[in-house]
Amino acid sequence: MFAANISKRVTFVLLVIAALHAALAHGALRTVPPERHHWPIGVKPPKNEEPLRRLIVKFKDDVEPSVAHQYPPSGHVRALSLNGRANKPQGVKWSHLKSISAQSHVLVSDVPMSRVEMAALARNIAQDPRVAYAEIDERVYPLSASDNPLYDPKQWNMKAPADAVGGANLTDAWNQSTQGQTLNGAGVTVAILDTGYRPHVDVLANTVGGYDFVSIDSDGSFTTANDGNGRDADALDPGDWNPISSPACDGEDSTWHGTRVAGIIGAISNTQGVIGVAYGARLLPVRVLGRCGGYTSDIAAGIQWAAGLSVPGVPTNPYVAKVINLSIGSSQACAATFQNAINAARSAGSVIVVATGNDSPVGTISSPANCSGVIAVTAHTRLGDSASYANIGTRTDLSAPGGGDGRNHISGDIDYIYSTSNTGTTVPLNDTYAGGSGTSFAAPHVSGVAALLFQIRPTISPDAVLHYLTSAARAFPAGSYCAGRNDCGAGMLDATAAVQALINAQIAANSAPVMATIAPQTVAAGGSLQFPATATDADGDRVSFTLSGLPSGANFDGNSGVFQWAYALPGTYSVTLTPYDGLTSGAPQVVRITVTGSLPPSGGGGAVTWGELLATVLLFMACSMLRRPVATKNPPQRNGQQATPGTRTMRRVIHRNWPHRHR
Amino acid sequence: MASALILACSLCACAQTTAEKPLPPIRVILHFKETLAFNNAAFLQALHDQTQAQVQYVTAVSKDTHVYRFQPPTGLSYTQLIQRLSNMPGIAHVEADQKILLP
Repeated sequence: MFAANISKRVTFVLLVIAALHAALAHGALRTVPPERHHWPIGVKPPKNEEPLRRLIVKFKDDVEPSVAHQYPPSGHVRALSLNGRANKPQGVKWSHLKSISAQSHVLVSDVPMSRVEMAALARNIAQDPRVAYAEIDERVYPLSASDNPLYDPKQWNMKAPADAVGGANLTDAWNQSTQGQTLNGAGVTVAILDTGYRPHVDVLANTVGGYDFVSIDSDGSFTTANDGNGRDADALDPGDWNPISSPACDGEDSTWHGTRVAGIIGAISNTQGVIGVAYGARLLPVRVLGRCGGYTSDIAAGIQWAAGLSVPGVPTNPYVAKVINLSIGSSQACAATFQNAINAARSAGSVIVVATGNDSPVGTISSPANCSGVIAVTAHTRLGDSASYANIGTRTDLSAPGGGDGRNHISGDIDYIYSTSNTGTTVPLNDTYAGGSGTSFAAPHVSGVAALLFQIRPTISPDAVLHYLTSAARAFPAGSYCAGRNDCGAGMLDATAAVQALINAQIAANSAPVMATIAPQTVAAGGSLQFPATATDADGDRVSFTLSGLPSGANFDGNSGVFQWAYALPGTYSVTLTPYDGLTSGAPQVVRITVTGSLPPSGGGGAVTWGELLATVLLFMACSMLRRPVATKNPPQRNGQQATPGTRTMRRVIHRNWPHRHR
Repeated sequence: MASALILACSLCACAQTTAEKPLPPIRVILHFKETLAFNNAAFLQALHDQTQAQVQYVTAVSKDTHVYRFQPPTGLSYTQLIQRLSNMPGIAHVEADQKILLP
């Protein structure tokens, strides 16, 4: 065994030296002009990039089936003559890794390459008339919150208590993962019942579907709707400016309220603007407010539609929302129509998060926050003081960052909540970011964290969501208005504590995968061995495997659980397999492998004698001397062609000195 | 029911002082005890017969809850309108369709 390992190492070193030698002789390692490397959007270049091995090749649609549609796809590799195209000595061996589509394929090299080399190769291949394009199969790295330029200077509301006492503590929550996915709300739909949406670049990619529920006014006009029509599938926000003040409605510019709420919940993590609490969630815009608010009936219809329930005359919502955000409110009792809609949505499994209102009273919260079954959210400031405008009352469930000044007016406690907005004062104009304060901006923080909880456990009940949010809430800081009070809710929203509590509960409740018994394995020396590991999981989780004690030369695929050993070496081995379902490891299993007999004396891969090694070194030294372009050592061939330096002599030496199995 | 009446009263507190003029139209939410033909002519006529108000169907909230626009006749207050609707068989609940504002 020891000799075999030494042999492999020496052989490898010799091959590398020989390869470099040959490459230098052919000028193959010429310097490729440096180029600026542009990483695609969403690809964050690491400080020390690993070598690259993957290339995406897209064939043109009109490429002959014999080339582009011939399977196995390795035909593509042959058709393109990829081997040897890279600026690598002795070429690079490529194999087909996978297909992206009928004409797009991922090829993988056996030798890691630098970005410069891989880019040069991609350009070379792209010149093939049959190829539409070739590009590096980039590794995409998750962006950090700080890559969003407003995160560090403005988004105190997302940060840990050490950075902002009133922060929602999201940074560590985002570092968690569930089922192998980053915790960002992915796969969860959050409905935003508000003024509609603007296609702001920082939220648009997360925005799905939507509906406009604002119906005709009682006077037969579309004043409230402000878009000239009633209910339809266009949930865009046309603006809600009100040019004339009245007792029922103040005159004001357009608020872009729905877009601002959307940004807090789900602004994309990218290199611009802000990051949302659940930056991977789907945002479902449900327009229920227009100029001077909206009708109870339209809001109630929107609640039920968002939850996937039927509303006559409205197409079924294909994006059922597990979280419904209502940053709205008026000073009245909970309407029966609201309560019925909330009950129905809760029964369907949706959580309804509502702002308590900005009327400042203590003891009263607005409607529909005062309805049963909702999560009523009041607001606090950066320093954790109850916001001066925020309604609080015994039905308040918890507090979240809302910005502005605090009730106790702590010195320097003025900071706003920044989010996506629009520059228009009436009709929409351009994307922008704006700061603001209010319970309207507190509730979306809670909705976003609720989305994270749903991502961890898609079947979590509305009551359980409330439990995790409130039990994980941080106490209001000493000296703040709400410290010691019982009408401000359970405390301040803490995303990290909430998701960690649920993850811990998931682990405790999760059923570990159970492996099927694998019989002891026996194989003759030099033979091949393959066996699969299988496991069942009561929760239906996908199971992967880890293996320890892998014999030299054997391979193990942790995803498929397949053990492969192409050339078994004599001996007895014990490998330990452990199943893992993403949360819990199952009981490990030790598999005994017995390789009987001994390797044939001249069998491939067996022990190589020290004499053979010495001969190899001598061979290489001789080869190196012969490769020098000295005319007397390379006489013209009989047909007049010049022999490749050293080649003929090398063959002769090999025949004489190397065991026949290496021919 | 009492809360609905209070809501309706509060909505029209000012208007009731000038009962000689017809009040502006009002949106009303009707919650039915069971699903019915909420928008057919016979039902709209029944609503009219009960209230003497001009009636138009507006929109749906759910299968059993719908919104109507009523133009009360001269002398009929919103409170009276809602009381009359509440007395109809098959109607579980009636309330004025209040506007909700941004906080």
